[in-house]
Amino acid sequence: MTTVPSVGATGVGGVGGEPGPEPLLELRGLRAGYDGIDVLHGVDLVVHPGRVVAVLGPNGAGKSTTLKVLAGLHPASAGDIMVAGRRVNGARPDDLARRGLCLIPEGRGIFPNLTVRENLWMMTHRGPSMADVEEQAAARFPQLGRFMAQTAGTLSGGQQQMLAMARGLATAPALLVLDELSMGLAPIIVDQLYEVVAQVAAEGTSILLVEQFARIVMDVADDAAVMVQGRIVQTGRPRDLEASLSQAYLGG
Amino acid sequence: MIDQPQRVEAFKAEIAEMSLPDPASGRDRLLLRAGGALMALGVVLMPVAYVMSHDTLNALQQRDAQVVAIMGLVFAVVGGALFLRYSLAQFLRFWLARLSWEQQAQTDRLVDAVRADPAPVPAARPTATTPTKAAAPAKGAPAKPAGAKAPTPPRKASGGPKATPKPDRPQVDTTG
Repeated sequence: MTTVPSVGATGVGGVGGEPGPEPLLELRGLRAGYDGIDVLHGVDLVVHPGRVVAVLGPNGAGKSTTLKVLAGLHPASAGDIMVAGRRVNGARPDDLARRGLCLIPEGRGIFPNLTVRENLWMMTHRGPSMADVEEQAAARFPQLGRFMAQTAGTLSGGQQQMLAMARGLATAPALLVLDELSMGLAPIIVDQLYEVVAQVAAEGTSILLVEQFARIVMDVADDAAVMVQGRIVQTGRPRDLEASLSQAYLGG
Repeated sequence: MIDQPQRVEAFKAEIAEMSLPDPASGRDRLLLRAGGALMALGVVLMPVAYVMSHDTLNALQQRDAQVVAIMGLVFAVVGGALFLRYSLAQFLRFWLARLSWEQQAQTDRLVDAVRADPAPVPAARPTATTPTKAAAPAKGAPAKPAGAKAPTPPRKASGGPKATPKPDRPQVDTTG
């Protein structure tokens, strides 16, 4: 059993008691589960505009479930999901996505039978022209520009993740939610992807990211939360949480 | 590059306007279906009870059949009430929305017509030829809505100046 200190309901975001603007996302006592078994036991988390918040924790801690619930893909059994100051429990995922809450799921979520160009074309529904989407994708991920006519399913894992990110960024999200960006990828590719994440964060986009491999996000995240067994057990600056992370992962 | 503060403000505005599903509508649908199922069950139970009663001379079994028949009746009545209540609720909600929309549309039409021609209605204008009390408007009385029928001025035998409606006045259908 971990002995990491618990956190209050203030969660992450305005770390160190900094008074911030109205949070873009706030989870209050969020509970959810599968087949009647609770997986989240009251998650409190805050993301302020322009901040990068990382949720770290071992496998099975409930990180991905938290993201699914806040994106409307899985129902919450209790608690509040506040987006831009409004309670959005029960909102449809496509409604949230259309308005700017973009989730890039674990496993990329691209259309493997469509070409890269066709995958990007899917993102033009929100208004940007195809030329703009392609130009932006090629600028952020030069590799993608060479494979526009190739079927997405035949790309390498890293290129598929780049495509997923390019699609997400084409919607000009107000809040970008990334689930296990590094999953199954070579370290060099992961570094490239996190360079783009840092670039997007520098442009002022709010980002909530979930990672199992905590060290990767230390330089990108402004704030971090450690999640264990469906609860946020500690919040703070990423560097301050390293000791807690060891406890969380090793159970020491 | 997107102007992020502006993007955040747009996001907040869009989230504020987003329509969320009403959790009560799910319960209404459930009760509507339960009502329908109970009603159907009641309707089935009553002939079953009749057959039960008809096939025996045993008074105890016949009483059981009576109980089953009464239960069927109760199910049918309760189910019917539930079904009616929740199907009517849906209909009435629709009816109310339609009524309020029609009233709004009619008000808009009137306001448009008044804005298009702000001049007073000719029949209400006091003139030398129509000094009748009925035609003269009371002081401070509101302007007549456009499209309302003007009072007919008294006919004259000789050709005098007639108070006729303006030809350019928009004809507005106020019947809704």
